[in-house]
Amino acid sequence: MAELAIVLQQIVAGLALGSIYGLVALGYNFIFNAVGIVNLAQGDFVMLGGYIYGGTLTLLLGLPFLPALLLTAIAMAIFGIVSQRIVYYPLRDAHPRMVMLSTIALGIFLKNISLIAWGTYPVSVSGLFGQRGLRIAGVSILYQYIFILVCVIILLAIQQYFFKKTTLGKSMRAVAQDRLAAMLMGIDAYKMIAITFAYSSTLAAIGGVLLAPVFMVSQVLANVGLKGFAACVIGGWGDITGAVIGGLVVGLVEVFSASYISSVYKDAIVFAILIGFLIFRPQGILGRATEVSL
Amino acid sequence: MLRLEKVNAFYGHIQALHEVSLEVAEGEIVCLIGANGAGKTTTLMSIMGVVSTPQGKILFEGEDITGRPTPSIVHKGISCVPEGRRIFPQLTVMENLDMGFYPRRDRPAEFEEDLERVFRLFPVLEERKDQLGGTLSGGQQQMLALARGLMARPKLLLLDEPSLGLAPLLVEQVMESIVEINKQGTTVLLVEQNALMALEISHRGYVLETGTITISGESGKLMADAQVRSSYLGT
Amino acid sequence: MRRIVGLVLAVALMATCSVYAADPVYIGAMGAITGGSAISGEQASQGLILAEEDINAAGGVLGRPVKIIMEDSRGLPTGGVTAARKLIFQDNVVGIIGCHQSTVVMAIEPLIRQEGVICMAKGSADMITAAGNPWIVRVREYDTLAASAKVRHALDKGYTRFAIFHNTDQFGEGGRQNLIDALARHGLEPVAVEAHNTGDKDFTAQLLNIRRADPEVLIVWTHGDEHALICRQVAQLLPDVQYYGSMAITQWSSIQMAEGTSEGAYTTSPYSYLNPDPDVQAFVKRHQERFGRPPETFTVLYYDSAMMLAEAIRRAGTTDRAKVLEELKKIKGWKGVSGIEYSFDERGEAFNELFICRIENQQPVIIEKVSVN
Ligand SMILES: Nc1ncnc2c1ncn2[C@@H]1O[C@H](COP(=O)(O)OP(=O)(O)OP(=O)(O)O)[C@@H](O)[C@H]1O
Ligand SMILES: [Mg+2]
Repeated sequence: MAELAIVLQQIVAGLALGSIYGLVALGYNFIFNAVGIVNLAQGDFVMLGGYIYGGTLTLLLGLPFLPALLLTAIAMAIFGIVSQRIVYYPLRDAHPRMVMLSTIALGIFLKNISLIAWGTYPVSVSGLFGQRGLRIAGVSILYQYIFILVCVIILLAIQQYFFKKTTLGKSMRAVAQDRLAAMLMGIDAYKMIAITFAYSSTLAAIGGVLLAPVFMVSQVLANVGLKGFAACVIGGWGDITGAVIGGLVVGLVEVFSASYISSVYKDAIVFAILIGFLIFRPQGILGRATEVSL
Repeated sequence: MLRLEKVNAFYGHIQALHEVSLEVAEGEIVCLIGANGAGKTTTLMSIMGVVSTPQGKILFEGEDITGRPTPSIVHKGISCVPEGRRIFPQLTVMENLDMGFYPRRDRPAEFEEDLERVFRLFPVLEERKDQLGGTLSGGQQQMLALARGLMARPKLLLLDEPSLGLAPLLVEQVMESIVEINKQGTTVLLVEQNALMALEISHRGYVLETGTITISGESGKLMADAQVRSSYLGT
Repeated sequence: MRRIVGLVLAVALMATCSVYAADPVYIGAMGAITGGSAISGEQASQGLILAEEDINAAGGVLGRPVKIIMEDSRGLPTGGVTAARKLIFQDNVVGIIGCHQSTVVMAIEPLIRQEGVICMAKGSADMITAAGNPWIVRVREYDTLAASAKVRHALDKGYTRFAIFHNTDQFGEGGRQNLIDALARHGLEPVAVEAHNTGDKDFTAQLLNIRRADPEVLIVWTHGDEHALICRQVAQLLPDVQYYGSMAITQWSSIQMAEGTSEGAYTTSPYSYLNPDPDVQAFVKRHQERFGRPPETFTVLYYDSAMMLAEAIRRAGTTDRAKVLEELKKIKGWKGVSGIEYSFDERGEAFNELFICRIENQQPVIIEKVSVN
């Protein structure tokens, strides 16, 4: 019984972490689907969203949750458009690798800027639920984790609908698949790309807001970007369902390998699996998505 | 309807078009023939505003459209079926057609009507409407590309080598549909390496050689032209 | 009357000028200002800012002003060596205060020995003074001291089932070894030993493995950020286990980050801002006014070190490093703003006493002071 509770607890923790990684993976895929590049600053976007929400809007200005969330989303959407202008647009005709390099630079810049703006102390905010949780039969679940799971499911549904059913979503996919052809259809490709960055940044912001009460906000928060990246590879690049499944896989692998193999090398194990996928199954677990060339 | 006046086009510093002038009147099929690398695609891309044309003038329905952004040119009523088809491989046939309808997305009521029209022209597309574009055969993809171009209900349709890579029987079929499209009221500027086919279905033609128009005239006359015959018709 | 005032002012001005016109005496310091443990560096530099002001307000040393130069070690051995080289060869400092990370201290140890520069180390690993480098003294509690104090306190409370959760860095590994040794001295073995990395955010797997072993006490040996998150997750997963934390757990920032989940946790600490000792409180008040938060442990330890080094220079009457070191090691019973009385022993350890603290109402309350002899 005690053992069963422990295993259940492991599963809960794995799913909770995994849904966070899945959320980050969605942000990656959004940009990937639209412009065929991997925004390697995605984790830093999450961090920035967390800082704006936690450090500035909540702690400094004392705003309640919803207005703070909304303002963070708006700020990050604008930030997404601006960073698209700086990092992507000038290099739009260059090799995708160049754009990815410039996103790395952007990430480093954001880490340094956040150090100056918010200091070295991790920003700790309680969010809606603080450290409160459910306790059933020896298994404890933070309300915040349930909240994250619900948010991820809702976002997933919205995104699926958006890409499959709306003209805007379809034209964004068209731009991603063949920008010239899309332009010949009369689609303003660069506007679509700007919208994509805005939305992807907003997703990252939501990630930061949801994570802040669980992990606190510090420069280290940007590391969730790596796990999100692993989730994308495992789920298959550009595959939206795959991203979430990939996220859950990474979360579960992390918790179970830490429990039964090595807690110290749990990240190494995740990345070993990531490399395994890159070599043997680059199309991801579902095998539908196209391969990304780095 | 469309007039190019002494258009120069550049890729970086490389000049690909030298003072190209040509004209397409309403209701016509005009063909542009020439060898590999002559500048045919460049001419079409200049019209679409994709390639920069710092000198010369491009007029559409009397209006100067030189240097306009591509989307606004499409909205004016010019569609282009690009070389190599370039259908969206990960979108279904329906979604591809939906993208073709993009310039008219504010008139959703007309979508069904247009869809029926292209399905009548290319019944195979209706059978495959939920299939991903990338899974169609070459001929089907060319039909989808044509259909997608038509979904915009363009006044002028630019076609870049629609016969490329198709079996002779399919080429015949595609050419017939171009004539049909034209009969239904769409003006066509057809770029082809398959000069014989192009001249057979067109009213007038231009010959492009290394970025310069060398010969032009009624298609029948061009077919009789000794130089055209030896260079492009292999006789 | 006016003339007299004018004269006094002129003399006072001249006096200050004479101090400030002279070349300053340079004291070096290092800490992580960037990188994973950047918090500690910031805390240290706040202490040093106040120390420099106090030393110069008291007329500096040897009639010269003191300038404290803080370098960023990034918490890395390579960063520490770069910083130490700069301080020694470029700034020609009398001594170096720091680093707060044992690995960094060990990395600069050969350079310290070779160049003959005083190092007032802030790492807690035993090997720092065990290295037998005469130039290194330590102004911080050392791990064996902290480990045995924790184990003894828990045993006194009647606990016998111990679990250890430590960071994988040298600090945490040293702590694990010291705890196992301390337990062994009482004929005990830990029921579970688990590890985590710096920067880890989720500890569910390790805490559940510990839960399997059913301990009464969990001793966590790690740094501030991880501590706060571990407290939160322990509250969820091991609510009935008595928590013993590292010194970092008493830090104001760490208590805030734990959001109440560190309530009731014990730790050993060289300092608590709640110490009613008037010397401590005077410093807390000043720091609070200046920086908007109470000073942390490294703030007071860096401050005390700078003050003692300045005093040693004064007593030596020279900046000759060997003479200053000799005077420094003679300091006994120096009351610091940490609340600890420092007395350097032959190993170079300044600490021979330590506080046991408990987090109560979000504050580290001193329960008792234990000394070793
Ligand atoms: N993107 C480009 N950058 C530089 N030069 C180009 C580019 N595209 C085409 N060119 C050059 O411009 C000239 C005209 O090319 P264009 O593609 O217009 O010829 P084409 O008549 O369409 O040939 P084909 O029959 O092979 O399609 C060629 O010399 C070609 O090498
Ligand atoms: Mg061409």
